Amino acid sequence: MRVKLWGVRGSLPSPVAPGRLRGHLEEVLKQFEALKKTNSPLNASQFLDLLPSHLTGGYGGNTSCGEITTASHRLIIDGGSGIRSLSDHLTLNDPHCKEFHIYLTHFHWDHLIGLPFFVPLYMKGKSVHFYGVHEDLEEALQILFRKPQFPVPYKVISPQIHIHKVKPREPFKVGDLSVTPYQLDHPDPCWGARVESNGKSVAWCVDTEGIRTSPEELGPDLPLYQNADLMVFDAQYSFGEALEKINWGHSSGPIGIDLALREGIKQVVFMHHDPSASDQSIWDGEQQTKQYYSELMRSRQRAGLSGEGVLWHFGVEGESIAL
Amino acid sequence: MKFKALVKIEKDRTVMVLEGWLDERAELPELDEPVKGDLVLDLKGITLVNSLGVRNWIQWFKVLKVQRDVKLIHCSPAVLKQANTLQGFLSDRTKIESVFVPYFCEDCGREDQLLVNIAKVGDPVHITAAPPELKCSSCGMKMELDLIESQYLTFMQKHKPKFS
Repeated sequence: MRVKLWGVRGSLPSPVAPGRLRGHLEEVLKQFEALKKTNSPLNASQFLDLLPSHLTGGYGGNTSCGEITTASHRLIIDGGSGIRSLSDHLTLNDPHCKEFHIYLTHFHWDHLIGLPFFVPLYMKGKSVHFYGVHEDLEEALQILFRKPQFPVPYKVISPQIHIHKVKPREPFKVGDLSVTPYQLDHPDPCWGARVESNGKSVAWCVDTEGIRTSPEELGPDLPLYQNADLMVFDAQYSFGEALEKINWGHSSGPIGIDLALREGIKQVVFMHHDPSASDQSIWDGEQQTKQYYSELMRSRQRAGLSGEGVLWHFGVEGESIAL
Repeated sequence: MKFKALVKIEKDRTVMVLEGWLDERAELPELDEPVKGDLVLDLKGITLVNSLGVRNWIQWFKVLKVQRDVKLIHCSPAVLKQANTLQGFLSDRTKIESVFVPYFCEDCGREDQLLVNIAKVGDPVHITAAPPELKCSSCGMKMELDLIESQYLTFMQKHKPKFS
């Protein structure tokens, strides 16, 4: 199983503005000039590898879209602006694919905004299956394809569309992938999913504030997390910011780490980065989370708890994680 | 380690001695009546702090009817390190009065702690105080600070506690 992140920003696409890009370039060149004065043998590529990610490309500006694949099947989670790059990729690399499966966690704009640019929707002979827990799944799609918001009406794409209303906490199949929706802590509401295949599991937990955290509070939604090989978790804010934004529906790195350690999750990737945060701010948040994690692990070891930690990082648009 | 709380209501203050892990399972004490005078929390026995515990801790302060200051004394290294890392750990009305600063000896491996009274450190807004030096009680060598030195007492700059 492989997970690819096509969009990792939250709320609103956030392209890097030319002024900010120039600022990054100036900083990189300044550091490279200083390095050259030391007669360092590093070449440009090796030098770039040493720089923090916010100076060499950042985290990406497209909104939520993930792709989970096995050798034979593909599940797309959410249709944020990142789905456009996925659509381009599929057109080039898998032009004969006829069946597409998209699970929608909820209908906030940042999770739907790329769907009008998903090319298979306009191609006769293709089938695009939409899955969702919400009763108004089809209505949410119809709203997207309606004048004056968008020039192509829903009836043009409806022959290609297949709607599947799925039940909370009951698995459904997409080929060899088993998908079970579980409720997250987000307004309107939002349904994450546990995706399993061939003994591997992904807990998709975006968007969530992670208000319910103890096993008792999570109740029927606890299996979403238990012993997952990978958890994709919402870290829109720093811990301090999340405390100030109660009921905004988004969480932070330290909360995801605590959940992961308790539930035996092996790896976590954080996404849904704040659209108003610069790449440097996101990087700062990642460093703060590292500091938190490092101290927590030392306390746990001193307390006689398992020294086994969790692999984690802040997600970058376009990255692929093999399980 | 199970969380424990011992509450002593005195004439002009309430003292709570908290021990164990401040995590999502920690049952912070409920009080039937508003806290009289200052609330003093002795945190020497807190051995682990996680973010879920801190979030509950912040909620707990909102429910407690504290009329005056909340003073944290004898903060363990676990409390000190996460107070420096997790913004929001200290509210406006909460101030740390003393902390156990952790040290280790590079020569013999011994670990130790030194109680630092924050009020004596200096101006909290422009804090530049270096951590005190400590000699190893086993081998007599100078011990190293078991913290990132630049972040020693970072919480003071974030929260600017008031001193009487």
